[in-house]
Amino acid sequence: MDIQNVHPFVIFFAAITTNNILLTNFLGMCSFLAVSKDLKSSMGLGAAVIFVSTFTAPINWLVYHKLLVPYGLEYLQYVAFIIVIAAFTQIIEMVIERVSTLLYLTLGIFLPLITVNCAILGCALFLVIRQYTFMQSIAYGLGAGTGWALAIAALAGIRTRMEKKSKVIPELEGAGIALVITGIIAMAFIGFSGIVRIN
Amino acid sequence: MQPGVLTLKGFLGNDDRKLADIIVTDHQTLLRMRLNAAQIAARLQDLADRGADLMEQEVLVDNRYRIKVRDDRGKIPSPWGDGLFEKGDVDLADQKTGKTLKWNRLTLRLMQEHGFFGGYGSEYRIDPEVVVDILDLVPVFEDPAV
Amino acid sequence: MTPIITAVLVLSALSGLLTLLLLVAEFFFANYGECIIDVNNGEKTFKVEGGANLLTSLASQKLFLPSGCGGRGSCGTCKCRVLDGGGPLLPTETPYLTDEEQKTAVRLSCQVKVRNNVKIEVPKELLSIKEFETVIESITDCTHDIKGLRFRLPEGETIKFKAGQFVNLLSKPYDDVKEGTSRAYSISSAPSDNKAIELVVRYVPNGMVTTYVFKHLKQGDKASLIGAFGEFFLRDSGREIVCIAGGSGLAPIRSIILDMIDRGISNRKATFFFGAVSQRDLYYVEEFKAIEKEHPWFRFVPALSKDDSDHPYQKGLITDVVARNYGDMKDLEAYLCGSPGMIDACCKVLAGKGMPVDRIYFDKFS
Repeated sequence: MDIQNVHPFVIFFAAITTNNILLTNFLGMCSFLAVSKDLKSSMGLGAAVIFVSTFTAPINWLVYHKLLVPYGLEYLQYVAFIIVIAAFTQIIEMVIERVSTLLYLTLGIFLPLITVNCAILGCALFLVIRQYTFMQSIAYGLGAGTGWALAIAALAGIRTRMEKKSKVIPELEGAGIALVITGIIAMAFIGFSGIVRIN
Repeated sequence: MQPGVLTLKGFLGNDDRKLADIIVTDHQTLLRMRLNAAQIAARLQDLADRGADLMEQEVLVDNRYRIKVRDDRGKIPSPWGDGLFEKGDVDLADQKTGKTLKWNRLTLRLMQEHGFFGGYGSEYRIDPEVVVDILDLVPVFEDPAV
Repeated sequence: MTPIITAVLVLSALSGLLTLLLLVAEFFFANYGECIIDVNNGEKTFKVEGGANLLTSLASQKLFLPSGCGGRGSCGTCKCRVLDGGGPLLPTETPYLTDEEQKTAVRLSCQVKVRNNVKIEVPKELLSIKEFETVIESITDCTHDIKGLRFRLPEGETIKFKAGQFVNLLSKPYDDVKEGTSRAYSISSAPSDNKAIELVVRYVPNGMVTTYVFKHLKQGDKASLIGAFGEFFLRDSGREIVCIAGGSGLAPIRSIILDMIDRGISNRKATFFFGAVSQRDLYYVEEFKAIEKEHPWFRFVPALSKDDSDHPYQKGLITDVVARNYGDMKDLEAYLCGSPGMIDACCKVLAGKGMPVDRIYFDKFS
């Protein structure tokens, strides 16, 4: 597969639709399920995730290809990627605390939890496995973050409307019905397949 | 919940278990004995009301409980952040069983709203097994297994 | 060997670089620069380093808002109006603010972070609150669970207060208590005795500050007092007064009576009913008896609720003793200080005797 020739924009678009890191790969579920109860905080968290993934993807690319590979240290990729992600999560925390204390308190523990959000690490690992170029990794980082943010915003919107209008059986309330809805959205996204051809 | 933060001795006594474990274990005990926290809290508050004395003197209630209610100024914050509760410890000595209890409004609130009865060794622990003896509590709901 | 060293070096270099990046970010984002706090529409302005909460920032400028928990967000006492620059209302504040307060921009100053210029409004009296680094001149055992303390102010400093007001005593860390906190105690000395502050403290079992006072303070120790605060003081109405207190509630009443003597107020009858269980709970008796002898307008009436020994005092519950000493009380005013239960009970008795509720004054530490 000759991935190098695919235009970054295609990668970006694919990361939102056909290769949505949350709906296709089912990564990044825990904060997704917890924060999607409220639309405003979902958008806030989504924006934070976009920031972290957009910056960490190319930086992790640089770290992998310019630092680890030349020294034959590819096996350190997990550690190195996590260190980078942790640092950027710290930075976005500082920014959010500065800009909106209310959002900072509302997101609470889920802000530092972006560090262990498997979607972010997944993003970094995918760009290694799929051998993306530098530009492609920027596009992928941006796309994966946007795809995740889109998914959480969609779910939050649906859950907010459902809260008033639908009656859910008590056993399925909360995470249960959220997972069911996510599955249905994922199936809907399969409808995108074929739009983008990467080969 | 640690000593010295909100109260002198803290809420956990000498208990090393996690908070969730403490709450779950007591909850299991309650289920086993078919009691609930609301009934215990209501009985204790009733005893406190009947044992209250303007000059904080000991009152004999129901011919078996020696109750002394302190009237202190100030409020204690709840560790769950859900409000402030008047100070004033209640000391109860049951002449029939010889057992004693100590509580205040915050203790009852934590029991009722959060299922927290206090860690082992805490002076303010309301142990369900001890309380059922002292208060002669009657099971409140049907055994689900039956 | 070399691969391990390279690995360690590479990871260390990466971590080092990222730490540098974080420091830069912290400098930009967590640094709030200098902020101006405008108090009471320009009456006082302070320049502070941004980033701390309002309570601490004001305290660093010697403006002390009352606080019952030392800024931990667990007492709801440190309220003030934040007119501008306080940011949105936080969920940590809402449990302590009524709807009325929330509508009028009242905030918990320990939860408001100073990030830019802030305009606030505080009660006027607070602008004259001071912190005093005192030395304990004496600690007296008044009863089995009450101590009287006398604190000497530093050389050259004086305290200005109205008889009946209170101060916050700051406790230092001890034993398991890792952080100091503070509690309010009424001043029992006269305002004219302005180079010292006397307090009366009753031991509360498991109380953080009373345990500090009873087990860890001794003569010669240093102690910080902040004050004076409070709306409890003698009104200049010329009416006859009834003072009712129990336990450590004697403190502000003593201050008020001593102040009346100092100011030469001799045309107002004052009766002080002190409720206790038995003789062992009475204290400062000799002093009050001496005042009674010297000043005919003052009467000291201890009331013992459960003492069958041979004593010269009135017998019965304090509420009953007050009731049987008066007929119609519509022209008097009352000053109460004691436990919540006693205050409630006395209010009922006084209202029942015709005293208008707005002339019953009692100490509400909040």
